Amino acid sequence: MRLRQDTDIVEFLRKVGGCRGDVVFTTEENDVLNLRSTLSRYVFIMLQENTRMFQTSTVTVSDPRDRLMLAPFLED
Amino acid sequence: MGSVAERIALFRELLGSVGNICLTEFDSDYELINTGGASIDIIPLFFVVNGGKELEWMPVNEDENLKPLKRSSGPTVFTNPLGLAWLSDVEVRDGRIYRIYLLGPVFLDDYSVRRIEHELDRIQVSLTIKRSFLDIIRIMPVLTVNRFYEYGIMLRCCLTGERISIDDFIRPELSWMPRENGECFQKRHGTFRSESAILKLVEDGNLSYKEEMKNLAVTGEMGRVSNGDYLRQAKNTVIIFCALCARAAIRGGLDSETSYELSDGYIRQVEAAENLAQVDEVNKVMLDDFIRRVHRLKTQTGISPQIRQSCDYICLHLSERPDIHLLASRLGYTDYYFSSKFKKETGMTVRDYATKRRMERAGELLRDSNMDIQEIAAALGFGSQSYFGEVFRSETGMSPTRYRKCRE
Repeated sequence: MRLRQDTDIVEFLRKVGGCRGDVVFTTEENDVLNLRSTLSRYVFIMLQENTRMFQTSTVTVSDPRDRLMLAPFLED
Repeated sequence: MGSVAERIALFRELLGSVGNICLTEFDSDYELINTGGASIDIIPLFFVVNGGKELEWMPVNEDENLKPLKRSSGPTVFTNPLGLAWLSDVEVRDGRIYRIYLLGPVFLDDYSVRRIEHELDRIQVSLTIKRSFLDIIRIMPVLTVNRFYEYGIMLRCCLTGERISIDDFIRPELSWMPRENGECFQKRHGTFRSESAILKLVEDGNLSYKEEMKNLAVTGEMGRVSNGDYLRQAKNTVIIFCALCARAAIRGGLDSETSYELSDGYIRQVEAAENLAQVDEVNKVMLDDFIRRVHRLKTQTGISPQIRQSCDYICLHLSERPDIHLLASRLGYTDYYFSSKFKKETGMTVRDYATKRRMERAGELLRDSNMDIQEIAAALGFGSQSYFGEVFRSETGMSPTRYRKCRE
């Protein structure tokens, strides 16, 4: 799943904070950020300025229930 | 005293003049109004993405449709697991929140910065990304805890004219702080195994300890044992290590009183240290001293506990001329009986024994410390450097200067 272009990053990360399992952001160059970690979350914020990287990266969740919670921020 | 806006503007300017400290300004709806000197736009975002918990503590007007969980009424301090800290306070107009100010992020010790650098290596991202992130982290100011609170007191004074103290700050319970999912900081502390191995070297009086320690897989770092002062962190680390070494030496056979007294002496030296280099120096000398004392005990056979105790006493007071009467009376012996027994068991007179130990100590200090020869002579109770040199030469066959050069 990819992040929607108009995603509110702050709101998205708040939702991630409420997820049950891991939420992993993977870039095309295979950079992997587990957004449950504060440090990874900060790196993620830094990356948001690189629009192209954001558009080509994917988000995966380890707990299927989290997919529903994050659905508003993800493309179908 | 001008308006709040003027005072805040001046305060912001003053903060900017002493470091890269941001004072971010939000309206009562948490809309960003002023990034407050942040040289990088994303820095203010660091606060709101900590996990969202901080916002539960941030003040809101009562009629807001937000859950009033733990709304703070005073300046509030926030920290996160990365060691970043913020301080928030509000400007109230007509009984309602008008502006919210956020001071930070800052680090409260430079240890946190190093830890982030270390933890970053464990995240699977490219070197370019790591470097860019570190560039952001490194511009964040490092403040002492007291200085941080002082800025909070100044901020409150700018906002209300009120004079508050450190006790007036609200510190949200740490229980809600986001903990890492075992992925971050899991191996922060050194392993118990390597720590035990080092202490075993002390217990065994192993003189090859330097080589052995090189082969130890020492991982992790000391935990945070100070409130942000890097020198305090170093001192506390050495004090803890010193206490552990003292216990290991006792297990190795060193008389407990001697060991405690040694430990107390080294702790006083650590406390007197004025910089990291001096703390390191005490640490090095302390470890070496404990190991050598245990080694000496283990290699000395046929010596009674009473004479061993006297030997320890002499070694603890190398800067003093050995007092046979004092040593004898400590054991309840006559001077003559003590002197004879001492010579019979050690093969040396008390005076020769003390000189030998003083010269051994001099050798250690020449080899392992940066103390100059005059200081070493004084530390070992010699009235002059020339007399020290003469005694040292007669024991080792070379001058202190030559001895030091040969071992560099």
